[in-house]
Amino acid sequence: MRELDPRREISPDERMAVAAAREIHDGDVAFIGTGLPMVAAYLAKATHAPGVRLVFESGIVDPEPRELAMGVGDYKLAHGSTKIAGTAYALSLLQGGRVDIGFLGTAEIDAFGNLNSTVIGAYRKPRVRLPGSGGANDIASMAKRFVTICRMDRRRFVEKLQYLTTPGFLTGPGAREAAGLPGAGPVRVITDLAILGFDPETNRLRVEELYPGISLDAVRAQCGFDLGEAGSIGEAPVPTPGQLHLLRDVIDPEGIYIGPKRA
Amino acid sequence: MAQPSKIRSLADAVALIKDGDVVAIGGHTARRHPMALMREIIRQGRKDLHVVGWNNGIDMDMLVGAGCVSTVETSYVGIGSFGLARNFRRACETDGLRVIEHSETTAMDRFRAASIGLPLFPSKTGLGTDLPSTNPHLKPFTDPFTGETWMAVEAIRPDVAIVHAHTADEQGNVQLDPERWHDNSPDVMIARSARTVIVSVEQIVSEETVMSRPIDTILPRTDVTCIVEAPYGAHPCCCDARYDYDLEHLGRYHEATASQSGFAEWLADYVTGPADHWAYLEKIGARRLMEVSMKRTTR
Repeated sequence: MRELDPRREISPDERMAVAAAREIHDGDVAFIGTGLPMVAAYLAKATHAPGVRLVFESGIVDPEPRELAMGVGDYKLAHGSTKIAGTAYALSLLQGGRVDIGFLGTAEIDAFGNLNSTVIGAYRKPRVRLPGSGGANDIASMAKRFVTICRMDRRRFVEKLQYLTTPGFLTGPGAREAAGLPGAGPVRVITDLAILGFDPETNRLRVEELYPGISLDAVRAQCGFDLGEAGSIGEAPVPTPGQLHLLRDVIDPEGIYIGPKRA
Repeated sequence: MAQPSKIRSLADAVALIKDGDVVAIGGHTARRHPMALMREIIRQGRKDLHVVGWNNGIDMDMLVGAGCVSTVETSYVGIGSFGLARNFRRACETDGLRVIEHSETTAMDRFRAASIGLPLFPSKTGLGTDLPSTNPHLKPFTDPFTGETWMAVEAIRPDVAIVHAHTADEQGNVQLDPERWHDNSPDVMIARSARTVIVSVEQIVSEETVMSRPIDTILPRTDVTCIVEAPYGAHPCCCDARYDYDLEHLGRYHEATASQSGFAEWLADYVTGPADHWAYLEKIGARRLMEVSMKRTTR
């Protein structure tokens, strides 16, 4: 193992990648896009979850990619895969209830973990038109559980979404079932300040773990809705030297998705 | 028995598309979009198109910026890791472009239903969200067997589908290389849902070639209206194992689209300036085209 550069601080993206990797259990079928989830999935596979089965939205199943892909349609992803299908196949795994975990990013999130990636501002006259659902609604509707990864600030963590693109717990307990949604919904929100989870009674977001040096008040200050009473708060995982070596030297040596440039 | 050739010039094929048509676009994100056909749509000045796909990028953004589009129907329009689709963004924010919102599954189900002759397809996506309020083709219904709630996705019959594939013969039998994404790719559903089907290909091959590996035929001639030969016809998108994304070009596009005037210059340089696809390829240059092919991934 190469000596880690002691001057290089651990970046928020690296912390989030490690926290996201922890959500993947060995043997899971994990539905993966590009960006941090791709990095996290490779990290999980290289460490505690060698048996994870990765499914890419483009229909690549269980690959051993030699390098990070820039997009899910990138043929590089196909290296070492056991099946090359198509997106229709990948989405059919979701609809068939065969996907254990999916990862999402978002422009806005509310207290019930609902997500907006469609517009900022009024729908008919948006201030910012965003790309839309893509596969986000599909993953959140049908994966057995999903994890959202995003930086924390008051513009993102909002009381009311301007458009509900992707379902979390909708309006609270029982709402997903009433709407006909099969998956159990969101389990975790991984941010640069804290790891959040959902209160099983209210389905509202609450703080579960804090990164060293971050106070609960600092988290509340970056959140546009009431985070409720925190229960016992743990310490969020700090990347180990072994994990940092994998992230920096093996998985993303060019710093495409994580790296000092993005810190 | 051999029928008259289905090969048409790019200009003649695109002339089949009329102003106001519903046009379904093959490919996804930045992969195997029929870019040569789309550049010709802009050259011919089509207006008021309802473009429909399931996950889109530079393809739709370019048509929107060129003023060809009145309605966009898809789950996503973005320029991958470069960021937002800026023409699309401008058109939504300032010109009130109509968007019909989808999940990926419902966007595909529109084609899936039509391609197999069904009026609708059931889905478990879109439920509980704002998607149905911004998409008249999504309506929740109750499964008569279980009483469960599902989303009904209405079939779509596009006037024209445009897709890009690897090879075809003169008869219109369309194939993908063995080195590819599998044939359950939505392109097949997109093509089979439409009344008129225009397929651009990297290469015209002999009928013997097609018959030597019929398992690789994704669209037999009965499903195809005409074929256009357009090597590097997906550029700057990637084309499975044949060539990679042209990230430099995509980056230049994203930068140019920061302003309306920047995009106008880009259009003049790369779309309306070159008289046809061959002139476009000359503009891009043999060296660049070889560069995106050289890193070709083989397994």
